[in-house]
Amino acid sequence: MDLLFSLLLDGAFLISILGLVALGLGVINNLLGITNMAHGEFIAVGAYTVVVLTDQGLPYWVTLFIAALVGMALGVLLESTLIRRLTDRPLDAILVTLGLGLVMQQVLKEMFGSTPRSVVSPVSGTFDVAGLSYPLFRITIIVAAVAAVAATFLFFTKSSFGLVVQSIFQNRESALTNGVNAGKYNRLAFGIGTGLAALAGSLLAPNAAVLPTMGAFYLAPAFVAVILGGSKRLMGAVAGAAFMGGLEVVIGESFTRTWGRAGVLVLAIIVIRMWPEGLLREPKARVA
Amino acid sequence: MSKSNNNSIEDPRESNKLGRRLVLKTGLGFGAAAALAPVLAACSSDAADETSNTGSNDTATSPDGTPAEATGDPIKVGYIGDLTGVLAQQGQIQLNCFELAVKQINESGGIGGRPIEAVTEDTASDSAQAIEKSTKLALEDEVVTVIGGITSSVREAALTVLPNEKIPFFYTTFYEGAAAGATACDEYLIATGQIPNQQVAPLVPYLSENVGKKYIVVGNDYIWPRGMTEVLEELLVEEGGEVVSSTYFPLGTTDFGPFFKELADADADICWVTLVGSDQDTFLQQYKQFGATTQIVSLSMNDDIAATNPEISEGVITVQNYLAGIESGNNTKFLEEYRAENGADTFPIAIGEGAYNSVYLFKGAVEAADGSTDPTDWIPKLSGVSFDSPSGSIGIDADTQHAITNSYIGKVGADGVIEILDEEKAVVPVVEGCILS
Repeated sequence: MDLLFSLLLDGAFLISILGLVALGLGVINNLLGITNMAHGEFIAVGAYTVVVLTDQGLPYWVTLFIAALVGMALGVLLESTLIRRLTDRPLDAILVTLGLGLVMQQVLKEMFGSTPRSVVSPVSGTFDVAGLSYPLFRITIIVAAVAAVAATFLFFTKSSFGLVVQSIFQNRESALTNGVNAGKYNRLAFGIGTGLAALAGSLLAPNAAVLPTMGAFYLAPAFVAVILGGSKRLMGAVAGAAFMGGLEVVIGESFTRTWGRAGVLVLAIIVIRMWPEGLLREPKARVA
Repeated sequence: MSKSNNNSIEDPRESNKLGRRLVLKTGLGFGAAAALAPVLAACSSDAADETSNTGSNDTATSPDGTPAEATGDPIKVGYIGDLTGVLAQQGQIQLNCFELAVKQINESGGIGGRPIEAVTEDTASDSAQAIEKSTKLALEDEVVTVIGGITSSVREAALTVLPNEKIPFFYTTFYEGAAAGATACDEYLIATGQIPNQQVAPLVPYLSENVGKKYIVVGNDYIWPRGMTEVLEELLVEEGGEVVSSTYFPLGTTDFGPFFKELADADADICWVTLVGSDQDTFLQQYKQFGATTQIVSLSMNDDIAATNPEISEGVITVQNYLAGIESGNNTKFLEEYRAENGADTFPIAIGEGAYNSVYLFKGAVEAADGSTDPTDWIPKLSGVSFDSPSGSIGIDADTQHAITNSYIGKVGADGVIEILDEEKAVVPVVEGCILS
């Protein structure tokens, strides 16, 4: 029984952070049609923002929002100066964002050094469930991540901005021919994507050593999660993250932790081979 | 000393920053990054070569203060270490110590009047990079020896290259010795870090007496942590203790949540941590969050981590061949000189002291060989060299080419200072069946 709880809680924690990272990556991938190889560095940007601001005495929960905004602002800035020149050049975009990531890593290293930084968790204490003692802070992280995913979902389904984005998702060409200003949407979508990565980093900051390379742990599974999720639905990336994170915890428990990491990638290859459209299918077109 | 002499140390490092910046991410496993690496590494080596040639033929000062003319070319010494990735912190300190020794030697007359020229390369905890950078140092830079190395996978990788090129490798990090199939006996391997009979063997009886005999192991998933568990299990046979479970996580893990259920179930006396670099920081942070109270013993703990993050490091027990708390005139002087270069609140660590000692041992051996940089001349002289190191007088054991070192058991206090609890002097390294002399 306590094993079940431990699997559920470990899985939920991994999936909540991975889901945020993958969702951000998915928004950028689906809307701009490019793969953001610098996504992991935005995680680090979020985490370092929390390090700096909590050092200044700001409460952790306030720094979360600022970190997300910093990630978003940086994303919007980079989109309007660099990324927008790469429209319809997905291969060039991979190289450019990879290089951007290296530059960002080195800038962070120059600014903060290579000593890992840490943030004291704002919530201490544990709670006991079925003989298992689990940190309260992890639960608050899971709740915060779910809230952020839900807010993103509502924004994209309820706001007029989101509806336009959805239409671009489903058919980019026809949306553009119908007068959608792609530049504006690209800019904001990239910002939202990087903002989500920075938010994930800020949630991670009290849990892990803060380093310029800290995003690497989540990046590979997040890429696969986006592919698994398919390109037509916003929440596909989150479903992909649930698949990746859930399986990693279960395989890790059954075999070794290293197999958990490796095995889930093998399974993902099999799934992609069998369902190349992703876990969530394209919505069926409705004929009037 | 002359100003340009100083440049011969700092220039390669400055120019190498370019290389580091560009090759940072190759360890991540992305095809594009891997494809880029050789090109970028080539760029960095060109830059290093160009700048490092400046400041070579100039005057140095001999130890007695009279200017000594440098006779001929500088002696090229390579450094490899993990300057990026999860071990970047340790790698940077190791490099700082290495550079300090080079600077001091160059300021006091070099090696028999010849200045040392350092060539620095980043291995990023990656075996492929270790092979590439070792090859570059051997063939392109034509260094006469290489100093550094942290992870055992990098050491093993470097040893596939350097002995073939007849370039001795000073490995400065504590490691698993001959356990788990590691290379511990090679005529081109000189180790200034500790092996298990020097590090763990003094520690385990201390723990049996003061803490307990029931261990749970958590480590990274590569040769060193697994080898150390092997050694621990052997030692526990004599002690009547046991390892109840061992779990290994991939390097770069940021979530150790699944381990804590095992820890709670195990009811162990000691949590034996062989996680390295920032993985240890992450683990300690989560250890505190989970409210775990088992005594942590970590071979990766050091003064720098303890001082940076005292709230999560407090109470951790470690054993090292160097701790900043060693009370001796040599260490006080070493700390002063290290801090003058790197900042007031900084700490050298054991693997850095090993690198510092390596440069001096190399100098001693070459001078004993009448200035010959041919390894067949100076390696046999190593065992006759003794160096008054920050951690006490050290020398190289002729049979194993490993350092005879002191061993210090320490515990992190609430203020982040490691207090020395016990020490064992001049422990001779034992590698079974290894007779190199």
